Amino acid sequence: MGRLSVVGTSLPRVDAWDKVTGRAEYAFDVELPDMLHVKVLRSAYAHARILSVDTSKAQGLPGVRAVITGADMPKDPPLEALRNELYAVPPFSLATDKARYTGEEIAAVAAEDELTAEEALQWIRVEYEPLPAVIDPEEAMKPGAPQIHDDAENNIQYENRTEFGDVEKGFAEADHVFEDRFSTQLVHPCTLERTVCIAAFDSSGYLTFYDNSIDPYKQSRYLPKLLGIEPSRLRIVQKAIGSNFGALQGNLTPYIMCALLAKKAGRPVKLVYTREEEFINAGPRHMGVCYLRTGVKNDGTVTARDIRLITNAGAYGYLGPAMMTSGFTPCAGLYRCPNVRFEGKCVYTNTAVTSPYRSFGIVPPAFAMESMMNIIAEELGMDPVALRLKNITRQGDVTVVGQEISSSGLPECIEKTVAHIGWKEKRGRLPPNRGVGMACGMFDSEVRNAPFAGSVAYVKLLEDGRVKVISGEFEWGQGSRTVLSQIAAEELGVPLESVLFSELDTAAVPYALGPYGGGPVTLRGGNAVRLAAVEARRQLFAVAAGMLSVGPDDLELKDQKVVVRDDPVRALSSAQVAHYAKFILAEEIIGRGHFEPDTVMRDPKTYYGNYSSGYTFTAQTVEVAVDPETGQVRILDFASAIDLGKAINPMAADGQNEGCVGQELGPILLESLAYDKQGRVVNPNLVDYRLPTALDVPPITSFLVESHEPHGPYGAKACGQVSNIPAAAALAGAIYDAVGVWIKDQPITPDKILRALAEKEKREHAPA
Amino acid sequence: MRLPRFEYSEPGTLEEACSLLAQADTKVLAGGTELLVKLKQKTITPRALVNIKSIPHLDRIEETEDGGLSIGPATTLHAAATSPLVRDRFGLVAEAAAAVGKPRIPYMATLGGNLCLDGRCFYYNQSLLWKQSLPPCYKDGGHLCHVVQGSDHCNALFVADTVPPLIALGAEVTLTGVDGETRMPLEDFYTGRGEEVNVLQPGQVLSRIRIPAPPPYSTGVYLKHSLREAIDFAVVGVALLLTVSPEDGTCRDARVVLGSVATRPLRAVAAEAALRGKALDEGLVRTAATLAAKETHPVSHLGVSATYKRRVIETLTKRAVRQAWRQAVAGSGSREGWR
Repeated sequence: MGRLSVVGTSLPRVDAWDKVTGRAEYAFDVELPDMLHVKVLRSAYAHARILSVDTSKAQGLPGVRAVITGADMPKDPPLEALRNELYAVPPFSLATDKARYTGEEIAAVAAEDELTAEEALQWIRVEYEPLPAVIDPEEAMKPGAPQIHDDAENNIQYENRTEFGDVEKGFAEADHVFEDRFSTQLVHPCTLERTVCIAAFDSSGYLTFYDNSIDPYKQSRYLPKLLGIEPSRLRIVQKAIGSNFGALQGNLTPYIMCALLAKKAGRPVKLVYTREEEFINAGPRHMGVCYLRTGVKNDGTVTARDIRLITNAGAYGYLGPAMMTSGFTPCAGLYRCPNVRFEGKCVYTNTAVTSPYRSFGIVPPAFAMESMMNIIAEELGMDPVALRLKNITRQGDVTVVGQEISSSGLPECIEKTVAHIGWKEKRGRLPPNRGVGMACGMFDSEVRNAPFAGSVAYVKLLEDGRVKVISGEFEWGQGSRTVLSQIAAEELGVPLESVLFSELDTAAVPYALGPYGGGPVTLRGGNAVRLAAVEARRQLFAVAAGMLSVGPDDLELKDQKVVVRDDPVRALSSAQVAHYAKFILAEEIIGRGHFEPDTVMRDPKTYYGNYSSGYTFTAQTVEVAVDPETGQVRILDFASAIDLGKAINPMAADGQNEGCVGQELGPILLESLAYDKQGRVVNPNLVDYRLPTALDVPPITSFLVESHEPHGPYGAKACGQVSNIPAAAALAGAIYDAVGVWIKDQPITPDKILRALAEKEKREHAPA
Repeated sequence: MRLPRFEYSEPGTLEEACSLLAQADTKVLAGGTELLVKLKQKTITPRALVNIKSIPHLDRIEETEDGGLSIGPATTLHAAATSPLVRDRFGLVAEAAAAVGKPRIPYMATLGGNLCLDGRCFYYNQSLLWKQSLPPCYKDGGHLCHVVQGSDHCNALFVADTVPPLIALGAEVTLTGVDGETRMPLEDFYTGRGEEVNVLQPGQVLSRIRIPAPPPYSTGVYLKHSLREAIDFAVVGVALLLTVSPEDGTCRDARVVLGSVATRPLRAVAAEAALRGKALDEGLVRTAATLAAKETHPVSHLGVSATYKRRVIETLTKRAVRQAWRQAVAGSGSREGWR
């Protein structure tokens, strides 16, 4: 590879100008002629039988054009077929016989304006028979707990047990065995933009959705089957997205409701969630309880780990099992310990269906395992850094769960963050109430969660010399279009601003998996775009060679010109060649790139397999000050290093790194989606749900470590969802260093710190 | 959520405003930062809104003849926080005003609105749709409290930041109604009942806030503890006005007022009594703080436990007394009786 000019450069995002000037078109901005507005009546109870739903009064209100209930839902949906094809079926219908969480859809109204639709909801009479509700997954597993689904005994949606090596032998070899319980809470991603769905039938019965969906291709496979429409008659146009982070990935209910209402009313309809609806309906991150045992030798070698993880699926099972697999495997792979046992249970609760909010299920087990590493270091009198370095997985390893570590810059990540914070001088040596902590993390750079885990892209050279990328790898706001455009620009020798990106329309753009499960756009999509651009360049040279009567190998690309290497005066601009190809040869220059990673799906039972063609690593250090009288934690300094293989756009990667830490500080210190005993979310607004504000996020120092991943484009791996993984354990470690208490359940609130301090004082002053 | 339909008027005089407000189901609109949210949620659905910002001079801050301040209720919190008249001599009020939903709310919200702030609650402050399965609570005209099961009264929390400092300073308010004016100490403006937080009657407007000149050799502090750096209501707010004797430095008088701990702003009278007449030392500071925490009975509310609230009351009272005391000692050389 020669010198790079566009890749590896910090360039402003291609959509930055449009977004900051308000020109970017979001689904919310789409207005269609005669469009109606949709409002949804949601269950008032967390758990209740629905005896009757009477919409007659609402239907008769002036301005109301259509009302639907569960009775209008698709009959006999081909669930088995969908499950076989797509593994899990997201929620897609209004409740009929039973409501299983507060906020579940009962009925929907389409009216001339939003206010009329909202008022109409009050005229719908629902007769409920309330049932006892259960919110906590451990409570839900107990005998006698309310049964949420008839076919799920003890509310268990999914359970699995897998073992690697010989765990009992591993514990027998250990000099110490540590055992503890850690937990995390329900949190909401609070995307800046709310859920929007617009459905419109044209005169020939073709259905178009405009949305801010995060998974348009998958939706475009489910929806025709559920709606009974031929796939070619349905398309989804994805508009600009105001962030997503995985909230209820692939929820189909808004689509189904909108399609049915549009059909019934014979007019386009638009649904926009309120913020309250976002909180009660749009998938929070699951809560997790992790019971962990770890065996360790006197020298710090970890010999055995026994992990028991309980998570809540919410009222309906969707991605819970996938989150379990996805959360466990990187945790198992981070260290070399050969004996690992895992037992996971995913439990139905009367809460919203839970989601893979940033980092697909890994936060609960990672908090447990990294916290325990810090506790072990403390108890053994070892430096937590030394304990990590003794045990971490290294480049070239095949981990206990089968990950092939083709690149790892983890040691450098540790070195950089430890040096930044002044670890050696500070750990245990700071003035009272100040402390430092550290932790590490690992996540997949892409993931094979379907037989096809690749990416296809087209790169077109336009007649004016500009380049168009046609790829279904979608933009969630993470900057993927910028990165993919940089790759196309690099290979075709044009500046970034000469690259255009196709609008995402599932009927026009090749199928792609998108950022689903591991931020894999850079690795998968980047490879596909690079291959497509290389092919476009080959075609460019072939056409130019004919025009210049030389061989293609005699040509090179220089300043947007195709130049004869040995006779540089003979040159054609790329535009001239593209123009000639299109209008004279009638053969447009279009490169197709296809990338298929050399990976396997994890075994569904053992979870073994090399499911990603690269793994991203991170290390973090943090310094805090704790006010022992209010319990308030102030973060003085935070360093986060990611091994991302190669930074295609360092500025964007720094943004991902800092943003990811900043966002996770909320769940760690402040946020909790609070359900009361009856199963109502009591803080469904941005005042009472305490999302960190700009003033609450401290300066974060980002380090990018480039370990060069052989499978990635230019050596790149993913970087979007790894920096939130160790942050909680690093902070908990710093708080321990500051005031001497371990907080093992998130969020780490001032209240919990004061209680722990009071208990500590009681213990220390107790008579021996 | 959309605003419901309502009638709207912009009166030119207080009298006009009062007659409009005397009609059924009418609410005052000033900054709108609380009211409009409640309207969108349909927590309340008034027939008509009367915008008092259209009344001239209602946003003025003036010095009174006796050396105090007279502040119009439509004064924005930002104006109150930055006015030299308020900042220089009533710093605790300026600090509290700036702390309300900072950094953005103070530009819209008014001082009068903050004084008339309704109680807050996880159940009451929800949308009509959210409440559809709940029996009405005391504040919604029903007969129970969802926060404290079995409670015989509403427990909505009084959280306005500017009120504790104003009460500590002995502020008065004027209520103008169709039948004339009433003046009362701000402390008496509050009923202690969560259902109806203040004494305002239909047809009445809080038309003026008067703060007397602070006593000589007094110094004031307002400390707010919140969980976030911005937006948040106080977990606890503590206002203190401490007057010391210039001769021997003992505490001549102390007024300690707590916010966000009850259905009304609360004087910590036991703490005040403990401080009065005593020489200030660290032991006394601790005693007063312990008393303040003991004499209040917070309930677990809005995501904050009662135990934690108590701890914060104690801590903030301690810190407020120490800070005021330090300021007093530092200012004791000045000429005119520092504040």
